[in-house]
This record gives sequence, C-alpha cells and structure tokens, in this order.
Amino acid sequence: MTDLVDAGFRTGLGRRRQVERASEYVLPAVGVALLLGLWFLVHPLTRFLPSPQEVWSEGLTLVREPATYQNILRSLQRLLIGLSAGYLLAFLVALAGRGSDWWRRFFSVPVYVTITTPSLAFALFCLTVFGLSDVSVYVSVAAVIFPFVVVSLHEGFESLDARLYDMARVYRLSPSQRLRHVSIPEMAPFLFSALRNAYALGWKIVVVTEVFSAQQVGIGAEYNRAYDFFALDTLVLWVVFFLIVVFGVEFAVFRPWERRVFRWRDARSAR
Amino acid sequence: MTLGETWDVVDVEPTTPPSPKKPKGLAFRVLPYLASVAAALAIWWPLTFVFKPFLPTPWRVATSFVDAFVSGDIFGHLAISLRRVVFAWVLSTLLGVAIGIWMGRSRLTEAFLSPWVMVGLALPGPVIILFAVLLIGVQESSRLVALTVAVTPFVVNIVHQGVRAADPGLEEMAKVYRWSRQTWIRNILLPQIAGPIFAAVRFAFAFSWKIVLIVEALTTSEGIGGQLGFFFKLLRPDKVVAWTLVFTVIMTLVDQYVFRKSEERIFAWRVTTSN
Repeated sequence: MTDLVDAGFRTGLGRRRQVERASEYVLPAVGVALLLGLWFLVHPLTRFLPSPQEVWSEGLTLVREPATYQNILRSLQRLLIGLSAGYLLAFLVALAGRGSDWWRRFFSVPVYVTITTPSLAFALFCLTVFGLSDVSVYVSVAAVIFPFVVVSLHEGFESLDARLYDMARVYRLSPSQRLRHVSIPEMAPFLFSALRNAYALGWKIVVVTEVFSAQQVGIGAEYNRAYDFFALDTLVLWVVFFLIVVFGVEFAVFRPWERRVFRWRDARSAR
Repeated sequence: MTLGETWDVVDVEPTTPPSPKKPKGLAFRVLPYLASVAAALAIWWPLTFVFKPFLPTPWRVATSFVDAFVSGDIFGHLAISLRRVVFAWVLSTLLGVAIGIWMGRSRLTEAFLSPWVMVGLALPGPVIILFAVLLIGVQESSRLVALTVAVTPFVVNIVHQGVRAADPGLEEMAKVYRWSRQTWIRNILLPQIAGPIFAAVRFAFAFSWKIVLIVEALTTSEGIGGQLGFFFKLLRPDKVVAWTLVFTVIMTLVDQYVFRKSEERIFAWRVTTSN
C-alpha cells in the first residue's frame, strides 16, 4: 500500500519535474529568440545596427577561416597557462596557511594587495615590465585569480573533518593513500568551485590584457580590430564566439569532469 | 529552526565557543606582516636589475606616489572618475535590485532573463565599452552606459539568489494571516533580502571603481583610468603603480568606513550568534 502510494507520488513528481525541466530550457530559448526578433524588426530603423543576414553571412565566412580558430586557441592557451600557474601557486599558499597561523598571516598581505588591485593595473603593469608578449598575459591572469583561489580554498580547508584524518591514521594509511582516498575526495568540491570561478574570471583578464597589448593574435586582438574598423558585425560575432568558447568549456569539460569525480557520492545527494 | 538565519532573536541556540586559542604575543601578530612586506621588497628589488629600465624600483614608485599628491595632478582626475563611479553605482544598484526581485518573484521573468544575465556576467569589460562606443559614439554617455551595463548583471545575480533563498514558510504564514501587501513587504520580504541587497550594493561599488578604469583607459585620457592608459603609453610603470595605489587606497577606505559602518547600523537589530 505504502509502496503504491509512494510509486504514484514518485511518478507524479517525475512528470512535474519533466515539465519544470522543459520550461527550464524552453523559456530561456524563447527569451533569446524574442531579442533576436526585436533586432530583426528594429535594425532597419537605425543607421548603426547591422542586419542579421549580414552578420550571419559574415559569421559563415569567419567560421570557414582557419585564422579564427588560431585566435581562439591562442587565447585559450594563454588562459590555461596563466590559470594553471595562478591556481597552483594559490593551492600551495592555501596549503601553507592551513598548517600554520604564521604563514596564513604572512600570505594575507599579498592576498589582500592582489584582491584589491584593479585588473587594469595588473594588465598595464605586466605589459610594461614583460613587454607586449604572452608572458604578460600569463602573469596578469595568474595574479588576478590568485587571491580568489586562496580565499575559497582556505575556506574549504577550514571545513575539513578532523575525524576523517584521525580515521586514516587509525587505519594506518600511508601519506599517499591518505591524500588519494581521504584528503582529495574531501577537498574536491572546493577545488572545483575555485577552479570554475577562476576560469570565468581568468577569461576577462585575458581579454583585458589582449586588448591593451596590441597583439596580432587572440580574441582581444580581434575585438580591437573590429573596433578600429567600426565593424559592429565583426564585434558581435567575436562576442558570440567568445561566449561559445566560455560556456562550451564550462559544459563540455567542467560539468562532465565534475560529474565523473563525484560519481562515488550518493546519487540522491548529487544534483 | 528555519528562522535561525534571519531571526536569531527567536531561537538563540548555544553556539560552541570558539576554540580556546591562546592569545599570542604582539610580536607574533605583527611579525608575519612585516616579514611579508620585507620579503616582497627583497624579491622586488633584485628584479628591478633584471628588467632594468621597465620594472621601477620601490623608491621610484614611492616618489611618484608623493609627487601625485604634491603636484595636485591627481585630484581633478579623481573627481572625474568618482563622478562616473557614483553614477554607475547608483543606477546599476537601482536597476539590479528591481530586476533581481522581479526575477526572484516570477518564474516567467526568471526564465526569460536568466540567459541574458548569464551573458552579462561572462562578458569582459572591454567588450561592453567597445559596443557602447560603436553604438553611441565617444562621449560621456557611452561610458556611463557601459559601466552600468557591466555592473548591473552582478547586482541582479546577488539579489535574485537572495530572493530565491527566502523562506517559503514565512510566505505561507503571510498568506494564512492575510497580510496586506504592505505588511508583507515590510515584514517578510525586506528583512529577508536586506542582507543580499546590502551585499549587492557593496559589490556594485567595488566593481564600479575597478571597471571604470578599463572604460576610461579605452576611451579617454581624463579620469584615473585615462591617465593610467596615458602613463602606459609613456612607459611610466612607476606612475601606473603610484596612481593605482592612490585610487585603490581611497576606494578601500570608503568601502571600510562608509559601508561597514552603515552595515553595522542597519543590521544592529540582529542578535548575532555566529561570528
């Protein structure tokens, strides 16, 4: 009896969830479509807006050009190097601060300074010191994401369960086993959320530095070029490409990866 | 229990006392900071020889810092930047809070607007200003529009999540007691979202004064950001650092003294059991 009620309840809930999930995707799509429709209707009334057809055909040409992918890959490469460097550094600093109060205070100075410094200052400063090269992009990305990663990892480390550590000791796990089976699984959520935030922030810094660096290759360089030629259609397209790359990596890399890492968790508690 | 977050007055639970750490000596509290600054200088100074003409020495930065005040060059630009910051901050807060509440209350609005908020959160500052200039032209209004457009999605995001996190139990209670809309706003909605709104106001200010630099550097030579761009072209990193320092210090002081003090005052009615 209870099973039946339970089952009926569950299917009812399932259907409701299906409807909800549909609206989760359909309504935003309608929202996007409405704005595109508005653009279609409004563009003849203005002098400056390009027509959707123009942008579409320009987009097709860009998609066929290999240079487009070179630009995207170059920016992606700059982001990844800067991101890894900053993340690794922040991880080590957070780790040092975990063990001792003294080191936490010591590193709080660079964290505070980098967290309050505006990203433009980093970009301009690095571009002067390291020249108009890729190194400037790496350094400014690393410097900007560093404090945010330290702060969030630090909060994560604070909430680690000391009893798990004790358990690992009682069972005489070796340090490498402890790291692999206790510490990393426990820290994984914080590592992930810090990485995703740093990734989103890092993209902005890549673009800021590229825009000011007078580079020839990269997404920021394309923005600059579009701006110099007053080419609103190219600018729109590069914004679209940018968004595709940003959200593409988010949905194609981070989400599946996260799901894989957390697959050992109870299926019900996973989102 | 569920009221715990907002109305701690109702159920004051005994919280575990903070772990009894022994108060360490003054030397222990100050020494790490001094050591950190010393280490920074110890790394910075030798590097100035490696990147000989480009990396300024600490001394050079210090003189530029003092010089900015003594010559009085900085104050006019400071006023220009501040005016822009205040404009964008006020406008984006008003817009963002309104849209955020609207999205939190209506599923339909939420579904329509959420992709655009996501896009707004992901767009880098330079893109927005380039767009604004191409659409409006190089003038003050395009700068203000770009700033507002850049900041608003973040305010919307914070407020929206705050409204969504509001307690549905209180909502039902208001319905059961047939409270008027006014009573509901005053006693249910506002106390619950005051926290997120304040966080959003503070964030909007911090974000505005950082983004204004990018906006100015790309479009004008007036204002702190414009001057930073100008010094960059002149290859004067010492001035870039010094002027950034002045601006950052002033804005941080505003944040600490204006926002923190008013936050304490606004939320004084809360009995804090945590922290």
